[in-house]
Amino acid sequence: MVAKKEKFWKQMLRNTISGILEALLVIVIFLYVLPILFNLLLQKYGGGTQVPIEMYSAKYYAILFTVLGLSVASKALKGTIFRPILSSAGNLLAFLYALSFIGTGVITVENIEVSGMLLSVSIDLGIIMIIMFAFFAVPAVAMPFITYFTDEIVKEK
Amino acid sequence: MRFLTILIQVAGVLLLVIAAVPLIQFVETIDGLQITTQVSDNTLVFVFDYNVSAPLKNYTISVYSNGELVGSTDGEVLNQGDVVEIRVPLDRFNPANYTIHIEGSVYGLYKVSVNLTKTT
Repeated sequence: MVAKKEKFWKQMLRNTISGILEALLVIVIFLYVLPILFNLLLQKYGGGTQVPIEMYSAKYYAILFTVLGLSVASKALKGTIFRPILSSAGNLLAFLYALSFIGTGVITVENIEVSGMLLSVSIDLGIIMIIMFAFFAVPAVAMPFITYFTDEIVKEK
Repeated sequence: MRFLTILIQVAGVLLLVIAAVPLIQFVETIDGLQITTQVSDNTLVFVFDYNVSAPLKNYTISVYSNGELVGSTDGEVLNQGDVVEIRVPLDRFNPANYTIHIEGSVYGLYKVSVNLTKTT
């Protein structure tokens, strides 16, 4: 009984450490690699535009660390149904935050004065939203459940 | 599986950047749209010199004065360097109250609508 308990905690500790390492990898990717890549590509093709400063705001860090916390917790609870639920919840939170930058998909810049005239520009970002949905929301929310149920089926066999 | 998800997301970010380039091109060079006016035979001619680097597909350019449509033109594609003219009858045009409305899609991907309003 004691050995079983010890094995459980060892497994839990191992999962948590691997979750933290994975979280560190995600931090490196999302806080350093992607912004650098973003800026490099935008500088090359977009005429020197930089990643919006809001991306590095306190809210961004709070959301990022909540997502990472959920990710570590889900990793620690490996083998239970809480894992895909927590993992998907974290991913969904990250996606919704990213989506909050775009809103309804139409961005409008109004009342800019150009040579004595008022300029307003509206742009429909439907394509950007479709890419975000297909490449971020669907895999991030569905993958943890697919992994969990695939593992369960394999275990049963 | 987690790494596959991250891989898909990184691919998504790259795709987003690629998809955003035409849009950035359009927004950054929008001031290349030069509008000049000429008067001939009781008509005011609006000359649109499109010096924006991103082509505008299925475009419509309309001129409204006192809320009424006084002239418009449309076409399949507006490329950099193209010049478009709109003729407006002078008696229907109020220089103190008019709007130029430009609609189209950048590279056929992003629907854009630009309004230039003059009110005094």
